[in-house]
Amino acid sequence: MADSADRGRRRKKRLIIPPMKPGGRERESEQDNPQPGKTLVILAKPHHDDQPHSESASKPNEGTGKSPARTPEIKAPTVLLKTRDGNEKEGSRSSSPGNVTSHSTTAVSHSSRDVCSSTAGSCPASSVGQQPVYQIQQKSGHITGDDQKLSLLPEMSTPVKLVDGENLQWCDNAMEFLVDQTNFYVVGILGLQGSGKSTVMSLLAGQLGEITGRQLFKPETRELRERGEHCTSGIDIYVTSERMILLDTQPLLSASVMDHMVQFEKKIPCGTDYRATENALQIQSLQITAFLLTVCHTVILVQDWFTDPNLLRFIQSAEMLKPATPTNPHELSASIEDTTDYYPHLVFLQNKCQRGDFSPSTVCDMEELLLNVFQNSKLKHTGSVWMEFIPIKDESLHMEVANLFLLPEREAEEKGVLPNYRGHPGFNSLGRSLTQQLMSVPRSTLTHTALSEKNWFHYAARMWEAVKKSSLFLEYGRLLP
Amino acid sequence: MAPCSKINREEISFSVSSLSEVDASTLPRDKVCIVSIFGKSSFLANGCKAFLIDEALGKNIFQGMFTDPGEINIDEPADIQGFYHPESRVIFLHLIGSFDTKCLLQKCHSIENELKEKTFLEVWSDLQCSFSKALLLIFHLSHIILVAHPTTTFDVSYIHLFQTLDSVRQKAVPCLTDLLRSFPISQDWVQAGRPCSPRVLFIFQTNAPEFQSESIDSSDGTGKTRSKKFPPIKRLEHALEDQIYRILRKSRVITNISGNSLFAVPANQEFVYVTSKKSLIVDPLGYLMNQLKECCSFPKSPGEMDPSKSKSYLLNRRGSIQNQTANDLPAFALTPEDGASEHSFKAFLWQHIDLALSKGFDDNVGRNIVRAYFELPTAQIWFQIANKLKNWFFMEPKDSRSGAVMSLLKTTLDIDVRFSEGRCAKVLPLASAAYQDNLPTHYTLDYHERKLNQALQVFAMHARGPAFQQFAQQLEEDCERLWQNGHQMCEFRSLTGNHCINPLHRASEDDEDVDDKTLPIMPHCSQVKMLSACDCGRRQASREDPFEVKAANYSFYSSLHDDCCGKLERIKFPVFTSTTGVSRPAQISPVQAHQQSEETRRKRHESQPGRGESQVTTTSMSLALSFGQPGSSDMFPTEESAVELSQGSEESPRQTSDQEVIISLRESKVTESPEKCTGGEKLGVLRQPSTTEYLPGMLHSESPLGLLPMFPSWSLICLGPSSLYSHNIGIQEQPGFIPGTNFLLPWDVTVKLEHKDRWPTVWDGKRPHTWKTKKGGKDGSQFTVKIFIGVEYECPRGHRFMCSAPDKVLRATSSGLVKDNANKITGNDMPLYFPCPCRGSKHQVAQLIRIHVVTPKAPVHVTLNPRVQAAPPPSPVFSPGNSEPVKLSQSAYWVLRLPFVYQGDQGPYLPPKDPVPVEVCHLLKGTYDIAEQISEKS
Repeated sequence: MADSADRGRRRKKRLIIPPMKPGGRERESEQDNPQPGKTLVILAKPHHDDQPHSESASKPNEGTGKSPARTPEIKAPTVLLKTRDGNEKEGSRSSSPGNVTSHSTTAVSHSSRDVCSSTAGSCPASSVGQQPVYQIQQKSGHITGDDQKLSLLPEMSTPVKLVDGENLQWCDNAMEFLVDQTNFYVVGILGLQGSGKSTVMSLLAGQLGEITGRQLFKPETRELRERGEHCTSGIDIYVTSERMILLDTQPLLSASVMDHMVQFEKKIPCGTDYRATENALQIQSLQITAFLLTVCHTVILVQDWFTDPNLLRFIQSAEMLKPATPTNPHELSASIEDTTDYYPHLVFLQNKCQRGDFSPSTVCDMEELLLNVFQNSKLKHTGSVWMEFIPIKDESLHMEVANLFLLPEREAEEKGVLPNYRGHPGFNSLGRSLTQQLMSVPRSTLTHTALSEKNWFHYAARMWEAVKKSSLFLEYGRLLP
Repeated sequence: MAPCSKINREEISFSVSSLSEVDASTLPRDKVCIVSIFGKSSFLANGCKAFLIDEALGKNIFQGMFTDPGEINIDEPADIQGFYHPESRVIFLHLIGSFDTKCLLQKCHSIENELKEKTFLEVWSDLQCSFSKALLLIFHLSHIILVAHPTTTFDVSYIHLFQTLDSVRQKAVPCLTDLLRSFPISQDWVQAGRPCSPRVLFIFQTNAPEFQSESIDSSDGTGKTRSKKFPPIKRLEHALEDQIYRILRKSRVITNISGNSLFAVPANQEFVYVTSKKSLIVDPLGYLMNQLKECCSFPKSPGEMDPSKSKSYLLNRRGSIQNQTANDLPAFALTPEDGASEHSFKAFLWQHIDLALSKGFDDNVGRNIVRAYFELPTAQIWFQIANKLKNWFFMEPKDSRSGAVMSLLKTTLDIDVRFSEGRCAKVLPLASAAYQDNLPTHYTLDYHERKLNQALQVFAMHARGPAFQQFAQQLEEDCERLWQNGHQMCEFRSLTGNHCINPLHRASEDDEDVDDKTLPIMPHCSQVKMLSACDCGRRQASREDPFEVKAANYSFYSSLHDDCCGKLERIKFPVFTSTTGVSRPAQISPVQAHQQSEETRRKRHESQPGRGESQVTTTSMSLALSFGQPGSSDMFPTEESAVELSQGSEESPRQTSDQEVIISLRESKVTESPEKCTGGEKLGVLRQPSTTEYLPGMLHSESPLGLLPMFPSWSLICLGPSSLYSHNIGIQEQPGFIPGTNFLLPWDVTVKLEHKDRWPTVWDGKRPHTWKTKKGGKDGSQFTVKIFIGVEYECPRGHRFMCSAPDKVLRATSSGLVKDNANKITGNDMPLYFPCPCRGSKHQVAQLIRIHVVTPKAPVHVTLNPRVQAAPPPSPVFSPGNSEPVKLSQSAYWVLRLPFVYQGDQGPYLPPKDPVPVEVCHLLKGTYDIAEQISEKS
């Protein structure tokens, strides 16, 4: 079709090579072996959601040594980053020494961020597993000495708190999971209560699991939903093996959060400067939003219906209140030109979409509304994420498209001769598309200098304090009725 | 026909924007209860939130048809659809406004242009303001208000809205009381402005499977935790009720005395309803497909579907609806919900309606219970009141009191814009201070802009929000005003491109450039000093940066005449001479100049010696010259075709040091010599100068004919005999020369006389050393002359040097020898500007300023015809004004001083800023030539 070519033109080159079948991956690694000095191939972590994976995949910690590894292309990345030492030991015991040596030479000679691993040790019986499987990541600026560090890359099993929900205090727990490398990607999520923030974040981490099963970021339980309460409070952080830093937040403007403030007579976080609870709630939500807009590469605004104009306005208010990107005092003269503030990419994610939402005309109308509303916003709200399978009305115009993505309700596998017409390729396929698009969003530097993961953490902590103490919020709060 | 007695019991659909169209007089006298619904709705819902009411009434009232979704009226602040249902004595109002996504989209369409300029924050506050007006209206007209939510969470943004509405309502009460006084209603209503404190009920929608349907839930009650008293949807309702109640109490939206607050919630009745149903309109496709699928799946016995096995209870129900209404599609009525059902909307709503129609609400709580006011109007009166209130709320406020109410509403809602304005106003002085920091007393535009930029940066750093642009502009204006208010520098450009550093002033009494007559009069001054040599080059003096051509090209040099070269012989170039004593500058408009230039060019071609017919007739003896080199200039393509010219030798001048000039002589009967013309004030016949008007600028190729400048910009001076120059020593007594560059270059020219008879014999005796007979010549008709030429450049610091080629500075060898000759000088365009080889912090641009010529002692004249291209074409070519090449006397040292600045009709042509050779500014080749000496004969 002509429009497929058109779409191809608009599509940027994806960084991510779609997950390969085991056979394909073998070939890849075999080609790599003889020429260790070859330029790096960037492989991404394969996606888990296209097929239900074993428990070991979702709980990498336990699955290290004894995993059945029936699905090596899924398991490999999670395993290898964590215990390379162990792998090498296992590798030396393995039945295919040739592979192992080439594997280790590759790792040493590159002396960079290639992380290789073999599932051979863990699964000698499997013919597939005997081939070493390489997980090659993007090169970073590090030259020497971090081979050791790399091998100790901390793997997270569950998200930890970045900002605690009680008093909105910064937590340093996540520090141990961060390393000194600059190639990372921060994604934050915002949304109203029950819109599916945690679910989307789990999806991005590739650890969504079954509908009823456990997922990485805890979603509202049935019981909580019946009580109309929220689940995530504060800000949770999770670092994936691809060095994607996911920030899951408590719901914005949530009645449940406010109810908690009212009910438990909680000392209102963010100070007592706001005389009314509802104002405190609004300021708190604004602060979380402004914080995310400051420290994330990409911020996802997830909604479960289209659309709350108040929320759109709210995001722009937060954009207005966002603290200025600090300038380096050492290069004051040089930075005269580039004192431009940092603005992240903003992706509008419509969760729990229904059949009607997927019709092209509806998507076009949504796009149009978002473009209109965010016309004067500096947030990068266009051009990086879109619905790939929905043709845009005016192909000829090449107009900008808003970063709008639609995710349907997760539904159980439909049985029957005549499946229902859904209007979309299915949750899993769309989820994959979303993850890939998000991963390939261009990453601009958050500050005027490049940050390493650890720098980012310190920077984020500083920004959180700045946001909490900002006089802008005080001024804004005073105007609230 | 008795209209009074006839009671219309018809149901009426109406729109609040056209209330007056409803004929209220025929309505029943029953008391009615008013139920309104508003809220947010998703895009697919098409603005409809009232499908539950439709369902409850069993009619399609508000939904519209999915095949033809009703248009939303976006002209009014908000579209309020109404429906009067006499049977149940209820009037339903359905508010559609900016909170409905569909409506928002349409509004965005209609204000697309506005959105381009304003930020959404500003636009939204306007939209929200008009929506709030509509809300206020329904809060004043209703007994029951339903707030619809598209999700299962209470939208806390309503709290601020409610608080705002309440404060505005209290302000509006006096106005409303005035409006209501004339109606037959109770005093309570008149005083409060509303029939009661309305009850607000909350409706939520859910998609979650566990709330999907009661029937499903009851069937899977296997889980132990689930075996509770209520089904989950009921538990959710109760949880929400508690949550909302606590939140509203805490934020003081509801109080003990219901009459004091915007609304009340019932103390012991349900006020939250969660539905798992969806309006049909949301997914018509799905509905139709399900129908189709059902048909296909059970083609044989569609009626035998096992309800317990059915995939969707809802679907089944819809199917039955479809069957019922198959022959009545347009109406698309839904079957009324079974009133007995435990969890039905009808039951939920009608308990409140029934109470309203019987006892009325009393939602006061607390110890000192006061009876709350509550009144039901008749439909007739309600319609009248609604119309009146609608006009008051929706129309532009007429009196100051209602205006104040509306502006209060606006400001309370306008938090973002108010914040932004406050913030910007706070930062503005900071930014202004940044501009004023360290300001000199007066400064240039450039400096002003830099400072302004700095101030804007400070501003941008701290200012926020939609008011940014407006305040940034104000900052700009403030700074500009400050600058213009006595801090402006004159900045008049001097002819060398420097600006005047005095504060803004007038140069003279009648300065046309400056309008302000109060400014002081003072001359321009750039405080740039330059060092220049005089006409002859023997004396250097410092000069001010010139602002006038006369000062640049004439006054400075003539001021040095007394000290130096005033008494030397000079050839004068034509200037304006007044005969009447009255002289004025000619007005030259660019267009005219252009036309003139065309003409001039043509005429000049004709007036060129030996090039036109006219010239041939007057001068019998024309000197047809060939330089032994290709066409002298591109400016004169016609030259090639000149018939009188005898062809020169074909040899290339660059290969031989000797050049050959063939002078062909003709019979001469006319005694008038060309020398006379070149020598003095007389011009060619065609350029008879005006004696009343003078040329304001400099003479160039596009100057109008017949006008002469007031002063000469060029000077041609004879230093003395040729012996002044010694090629061994170089130029002497000329200060400022960079060592090793003070040499002239020899130019050997072979002259061949073709008219032997005419050649004077006086020269037979002595043979000057520069004149030796060539081998081929038999009787002295062919000889070589040696001319010395120097092209001198001078930089603003007074450094002087010669060039030996267009791209090369002349350099003598260490022993003082010069090996170059002048062929490259005479055969090429010489650049007007050349980087000065002097060392300094900043490299200077030297300008071609003098041409030194030492003429030979031979029976020929060296002629000069300097023409300067000072800027890329189409800029004019400058010349001293001579009509033909100027003849220099023999055996003398001549110095031609070129203009210091070149000024065309559009202003001066400035030298380049950087010391790089400029390709387009040239002294055109063809400046030097030989002509036969003839004056002595005549």
